[in-house]
Amino acid sequence: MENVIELKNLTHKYGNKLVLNNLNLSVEKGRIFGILGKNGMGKTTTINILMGFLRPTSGVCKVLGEDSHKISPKTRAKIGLLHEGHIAYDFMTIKQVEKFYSNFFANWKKDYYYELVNKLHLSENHRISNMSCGQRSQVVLGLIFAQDPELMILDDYSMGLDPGYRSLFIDYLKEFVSTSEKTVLMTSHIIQDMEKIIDDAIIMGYQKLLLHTSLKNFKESFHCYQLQRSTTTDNLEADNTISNIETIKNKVNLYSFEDITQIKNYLTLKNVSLDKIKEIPLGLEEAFIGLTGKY
Amino acid sequence: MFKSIIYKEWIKTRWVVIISFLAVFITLIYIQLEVRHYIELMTAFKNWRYIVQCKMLYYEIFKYFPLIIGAVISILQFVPEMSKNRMRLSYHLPISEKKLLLSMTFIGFSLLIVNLAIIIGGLVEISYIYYPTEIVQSMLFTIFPWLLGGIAIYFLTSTIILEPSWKYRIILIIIAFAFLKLLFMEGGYNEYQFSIWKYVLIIVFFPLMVLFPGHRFRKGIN
Repeated sequence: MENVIELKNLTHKYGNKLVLNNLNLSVEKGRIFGILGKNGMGKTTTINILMGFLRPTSGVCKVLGEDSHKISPKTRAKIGLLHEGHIAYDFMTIKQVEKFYSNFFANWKKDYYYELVNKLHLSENHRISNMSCGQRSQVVLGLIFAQDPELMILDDYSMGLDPGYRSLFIDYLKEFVSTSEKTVLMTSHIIQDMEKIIDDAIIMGYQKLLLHTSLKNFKESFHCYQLQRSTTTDNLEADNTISNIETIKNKVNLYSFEDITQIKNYLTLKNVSLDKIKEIPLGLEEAFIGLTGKY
Repeated sequence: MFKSIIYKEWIKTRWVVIISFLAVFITLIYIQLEVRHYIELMTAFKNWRYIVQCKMLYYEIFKYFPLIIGAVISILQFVPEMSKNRMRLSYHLPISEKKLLLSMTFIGFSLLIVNLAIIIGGLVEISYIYYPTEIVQSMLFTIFPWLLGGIAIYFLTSTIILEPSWKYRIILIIIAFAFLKLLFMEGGYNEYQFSIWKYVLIIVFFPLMVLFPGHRFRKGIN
């Protein structure tokens, strides 16, 4: 399968501060790929490198076969970008912005744009600066759809959107992607929404990749075990078996990819009492927080 | 593509362009009325003395016009692009960043030139009605540094706004201020007659300046 995005040993520093450390990932054609992670873990840096607005300190970042920091105008026409905060030419109206973009793209699909924008019931002469964040998100998404790109990079599409607009955004995106072989790379903090749409994901941690899998697989294979706090549990530390430890008053939550039998063996070796150990069912968001930690 | 860029730049600048055209026309009418008024009331002899000996410039009202128009066109073109990182939208368009920046500045520069051409044309027209050729020539030499100032400030302001690093922005502001001050140091007429070509030679390279901050923005320097 052809890779639309390819990152090899991607490293980036801001001054002496290391943000990305040998990040490797590839996105296959036709897949919807999510980048998840807490704030400050390098999601925006990765997106900025992918969009060509930041040159990595070292490593390779290829988008549609070209180095991301020197993508040719021809290839740029095949990439639809949604910038964080749904950046748009606010000084233009609904009609003006469509007219402006239409001359740049050979396969411009005006109908796609107006299909989405007409849902807003606004006049064509309505200025984008006078729109709510949700309305603006529809205009921006409409412009990306009209561009009919091969690859869409959507940076924090959910920022500032209420549940209604988030749902609308996801529904239209899903519909658009299902009817054509588009590749999407997206980031968001709303894990539940991502679950509805993405095929694969990476979860970024501090200077490392915590996980590269499908969200379904992650949800099924990641567990939380709760046990009573004791002096031996206080000595436990995150390692290859335990991904994260959370202590709340007299309870200890252990997060791990291992099943209960292996965890019991592991805890026995560490002289931890197995009395009252139980598995706590996890939703996707809880699993995500369990893996990345609350702080 | 170029049509689209013209369209966007026109949306951003149209009001100031229309207002500046009106202001130029009104000022030209005012100058003509004032010159006629002086000649009729003070006699041609007194008027001549004021112009030649007292170095009174009947067109001095236009001195800072090009500067203001150049700066305002540049601000209206590039501040909306740089605020909220909107320049990223423009840099993602399927056109090379050099072509894009040169096209944008060419459009702004053209709007400025039309304004300046109206000022020159109007002043020449008025001057020829009331004064001999020598005065008209002197007027052209005197206003030329002001017009160059308008052109220079347009490219300098554009470069300063497009520059992503504050450190370089401050350096550019200081250079711009010093350079522009040099163009407005006259105390009479014809004072730049022999040195103006040196300034022209420097300003010819100003359009290329906007390419550097554009390139630096692309490299992610903030």
